[in-house]
Amino acid sequence: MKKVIIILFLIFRSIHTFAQSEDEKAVKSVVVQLFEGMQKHDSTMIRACFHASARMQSIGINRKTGLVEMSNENTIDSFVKQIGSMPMSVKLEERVLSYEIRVDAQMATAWAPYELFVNEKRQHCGVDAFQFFKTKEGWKIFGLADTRRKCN
Amino acid sequence: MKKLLLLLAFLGFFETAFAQSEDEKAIKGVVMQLFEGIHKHDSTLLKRIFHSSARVQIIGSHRLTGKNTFTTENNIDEYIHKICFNATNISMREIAKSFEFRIDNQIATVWTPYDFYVKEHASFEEHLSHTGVDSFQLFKTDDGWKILSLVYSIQRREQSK
Repeated sequence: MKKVIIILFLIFRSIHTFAQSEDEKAVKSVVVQLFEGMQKHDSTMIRACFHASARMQSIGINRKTGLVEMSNENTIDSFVKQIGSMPMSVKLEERVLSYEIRVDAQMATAWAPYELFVNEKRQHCGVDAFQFFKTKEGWKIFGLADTRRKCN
Repeated sequence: MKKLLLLLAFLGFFETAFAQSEDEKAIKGVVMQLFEGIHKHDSTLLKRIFHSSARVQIIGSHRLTGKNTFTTENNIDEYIHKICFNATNISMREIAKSFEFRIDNQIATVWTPYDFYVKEHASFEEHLSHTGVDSFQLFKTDDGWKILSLVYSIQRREQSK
């Protein structure tokens, strides 16, 4: 009897864990798709990751002044165009070191430390902080703030 | 000798724990100021903790239709004005249930499940209006940590049982 209870408990527990991670998996796959889109210079693929109201913000050190600055991209259009118009010889690869994902109903966030490689050379490091909204068409990024700095 | 090393190891441990928590303390202070500002309808306090480019977004289900809604407040001054001058006779009290911090130099995020209490009139009793999660993105400026983005989910009481 005890064994049955333990087995039932384990089954329920694994179902519960599985149910929780479905959204997390879906959120993670959006980030993976974004970086795949960047690697392939595929603007359609990149655009599909974002909500229409999406905004991007970057925080880094200005090379000339040495001061910490924040740049704003109020629409994702310029970002998408920038990637789409890059020559195919430029190889962009954003390597994510880890994912921390939190989900509450239709809202989610992901915290992802990354290293950006351009033509197989490590360019800079930092963290991507994503915000997601669950739409009928799946999870969409509506906020992305990142830091950019020299790698240690 | 061993004892001394152990002691030094402990001290080192406390030092790193302390150093890490300085930013966390400052960020938690910003969140607490937000709640205080909402409670007191204090626009000066609220203006101080938001970055000028900040935006506020609300994710919830509609009270009547149950449809998922996504609202964006692009102008932070207007949002603060709404809180402070449109609902002056309503007392609002937000209580954070826990804090999860992620910090990387100048950027930070906080994930905070909350309860939101409302008292619609001085003679009414305060009641739990809704629960949800506040998700903040903050930027460290020369003038301290500022909220860049606040997104919160809303679950009404009927749903949040």
